Amino acid sequence: MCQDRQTRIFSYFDGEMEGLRSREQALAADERRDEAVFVRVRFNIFEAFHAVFSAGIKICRGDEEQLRQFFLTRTEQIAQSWLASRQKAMAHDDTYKLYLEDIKLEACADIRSAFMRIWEGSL
Amino acid sequence: MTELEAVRLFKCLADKSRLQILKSLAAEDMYVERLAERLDLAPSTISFHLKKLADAGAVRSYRTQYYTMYSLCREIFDTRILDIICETSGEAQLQTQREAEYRRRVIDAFFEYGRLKSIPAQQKKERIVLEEIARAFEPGRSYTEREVNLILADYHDDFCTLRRDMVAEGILSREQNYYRLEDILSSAPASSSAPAR
Repeated sequence: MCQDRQTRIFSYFDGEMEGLRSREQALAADERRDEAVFVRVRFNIFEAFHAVFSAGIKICRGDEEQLRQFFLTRTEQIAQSWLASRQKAMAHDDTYKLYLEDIKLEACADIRSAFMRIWEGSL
Repeated sequence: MTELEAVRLFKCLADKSRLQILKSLAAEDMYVERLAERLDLAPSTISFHLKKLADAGAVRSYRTQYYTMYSLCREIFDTRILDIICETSGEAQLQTQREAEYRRRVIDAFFEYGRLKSIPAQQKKERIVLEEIARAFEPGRSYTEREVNLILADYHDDFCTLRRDMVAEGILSREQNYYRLEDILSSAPASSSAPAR
């Protein structure tokens, strides 16, 4: 069961990352550089959270509940710094930074939501 | 438009989505959601692009009762690219200043009390020296070779070389034994302490 969840989570990450990579390439080829950068930012978050999940598997050594807690706690901690950065950007009317932090937070929320649904078996 | 503003504008325009936004705004003023629908982009992406375009001076916004509308800054796009390139920039002024300082150093090195100490061997320096001497000639007036020699002899004993080199450099023109000053001094920076005659 544990193995099955892990496989599905990895396959979710891989599928999303593949889609993002090809979208980034298509945007760059279409001379939409800024949007390509934004997609790359989202891709990087998926890559980072993929690494967090892999690290969790090693650390938790088969304890499913501990792995779930580890992933959700770590990703929330990471998102806190983006939230703080977003607030700072908003205070300084830094549109570019604000938009980047929104992308990161949105990616984080999407991953956590997909993770929960996979964990509960509804995805 | 300053050089920095031009760079910012060109960088901003080098994006297909932003060009599409400008094309839409060229047709009529629009608000974010309408642009998002037309271009099939997220409103947040449109807002980001509009902010960049506004920072570059390409669009401006105004409020209506319900929406913030965006319009094209047509005066920016009426500017010819050649006008932007030809505009004097901080860097161009710096280059002119450096050039003037170099001329000053060459003139100080080769002239003494209004006379040429020696004819520079380096072509670039000789050109500067000859342009300086050319200030002794009146624009539009024709000179006989004797008159030219008399003027040049005040600067250096080898007036024949000076005369020949001034013709070769296009500073003086010779036609039917008469010499005339060519219009080269307008492009040469004026020397504040030209050799006294």
